[in-house]
Amino acid sequence: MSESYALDVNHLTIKYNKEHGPLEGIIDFSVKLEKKGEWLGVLGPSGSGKSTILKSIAGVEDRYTGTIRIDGEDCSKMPTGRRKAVLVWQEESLFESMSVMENARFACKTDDEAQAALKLFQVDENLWFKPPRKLSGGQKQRVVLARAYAAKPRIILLDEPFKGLDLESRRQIVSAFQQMKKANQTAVLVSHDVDEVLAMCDYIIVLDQGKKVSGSPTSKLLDEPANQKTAELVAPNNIWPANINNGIMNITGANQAVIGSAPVKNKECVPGQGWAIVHARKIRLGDPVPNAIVIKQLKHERTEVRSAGKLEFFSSPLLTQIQSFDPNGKGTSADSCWFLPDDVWVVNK
Amino acid sequence: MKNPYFWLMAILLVVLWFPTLCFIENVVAGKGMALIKIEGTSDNSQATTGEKEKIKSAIGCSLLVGVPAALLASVIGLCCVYILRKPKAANLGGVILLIPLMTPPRAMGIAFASLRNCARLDPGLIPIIMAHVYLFLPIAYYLHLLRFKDLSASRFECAQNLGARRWQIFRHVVLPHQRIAFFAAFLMCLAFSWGEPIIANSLAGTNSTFAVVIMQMMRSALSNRVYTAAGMSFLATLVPVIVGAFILWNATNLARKEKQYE
Repeated sequence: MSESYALDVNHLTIKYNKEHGPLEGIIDFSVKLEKKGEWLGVLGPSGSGKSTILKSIAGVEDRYTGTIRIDGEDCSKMPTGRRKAVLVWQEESLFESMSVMENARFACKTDDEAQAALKLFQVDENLWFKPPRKLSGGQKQRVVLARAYAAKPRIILLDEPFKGLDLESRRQIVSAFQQMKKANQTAVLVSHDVDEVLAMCDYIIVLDQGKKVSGSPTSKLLDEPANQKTAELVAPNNIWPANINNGIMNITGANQAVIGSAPVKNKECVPGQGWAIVHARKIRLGDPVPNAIVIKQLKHERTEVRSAGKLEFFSSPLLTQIQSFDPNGKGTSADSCWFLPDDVWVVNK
Repeated sequence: MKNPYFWLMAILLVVLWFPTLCFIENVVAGKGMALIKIEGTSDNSQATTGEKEKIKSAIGCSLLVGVPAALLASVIGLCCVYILRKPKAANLGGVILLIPLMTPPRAMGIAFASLRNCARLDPGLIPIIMAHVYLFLPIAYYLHLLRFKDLSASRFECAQNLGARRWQIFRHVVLPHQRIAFFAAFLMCLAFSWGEPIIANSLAGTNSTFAVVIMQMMRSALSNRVYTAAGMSFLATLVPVIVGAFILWNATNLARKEKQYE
């Protein structure tokens, strides 16, 4: 008898070829979400099998082997409608013949549940009895999410829920997601948008060509990415080449000039060529402290400051890119951009 | 313009318009001359009262047969598309459903007449309607299939994922999407019914449809009356076919554009 995990996917294997889409390959995926209410993020480039995994967990895709347990129950052979794993599609999936309210009511038992879900996703009451064709893209997406949540699923599977949405709609959806999380709703979130996944999820898996490249709690993934592919996803602009030798790395900037040295904290690293990675939230602006590694020529270095100060991203603690940063040094507070040697993580090339 | 299909359709349209031009010319010239005189034809354009009544009754009969037959064919075609939606089943079903179109109409008429006799049904409209439904089914099926291919798989899967039963999926996903195909199939089957004389003739008994009456008139002589009736028949066929084809083309085109946009 296996332990009662919120989600336990064991060697989910799917062969996919050109009949099923533009890509060919084999997906081999395992993951465990221990507690109810945890959110799993799945990151990866297009064609890495993210959506196929979600469809398999939902039971819409049935060409797989391996086991899928939701809340301890084996759902591997269960039809999709009985799994209570509701998938939110990338494509529009509202029923045209029904009003917004009827759509939300479709998979739940009472009107109250549907209304509560619509309110949670901030769907204006004036729209409740209108047909979906009268709604904007953002409103439709919120109705789709409300319908999924109203179904009271054991797990909600979100496939690119922010795709094509404006900032205001994203903000409203993130706010609803945070309330869903508080209400102990387990979820899997697939997105190209790293910031959103980092902001919402407790555990993150990085996929590449159907294989798990890394999987770790979000904070560890940010500070200690396991490999270059993961680093490129979580800190795409803050990666520098480094030479690793005797437990020390020399970080090189433009023209192969060494911009600083730092201790190698990653015990799996071997001497040789590597990548030095600093997450955006560890990069600071202003006067550097002693021993800081200073990046002076921002415009010419292979870097872009993604964070500084205490900016907030959708009320979450994640810091985001500063667009107004002046790389020519005219902005007084931005002349020095620096980080501490202890904040640098390194992986082998 | 290099497309041979275009030229073929253009020639067909010109040929089909010939009786209609004759009809128009007759209307403009009152009881005047036919556009082209064919040797051995009668110029007697004055229909007797009995003939007029016969034509009126035939038009009514055609509508009584055509409307329910087209409606039923469209409904059954839609159900077939839904039931045979998986690719392998759709291919097999598509081939089987072509049989009515491939069967010689005379043979089909005789088959239905035998069936009517076995079932001891009176010669009336119901056997004609049944035979027409059978004949129109492939048309309705393929028109529905054309539209059904544009139905996004995610809508279908979404309903299944939310625990919808088969009839709920049909009611809320398939039916709203197929509305246009339903209407187009209805119009096209109606147009087909309007001009189908052979099966109707085999089963008609005392109830002759419009196509049967024209055929009977043509047997005697190619008169102005025949031109007129043929022209009317053609016009009545052309309108639903064009409307049906246009709305279906428009809907599938829009769906493709939406897909490209996505």
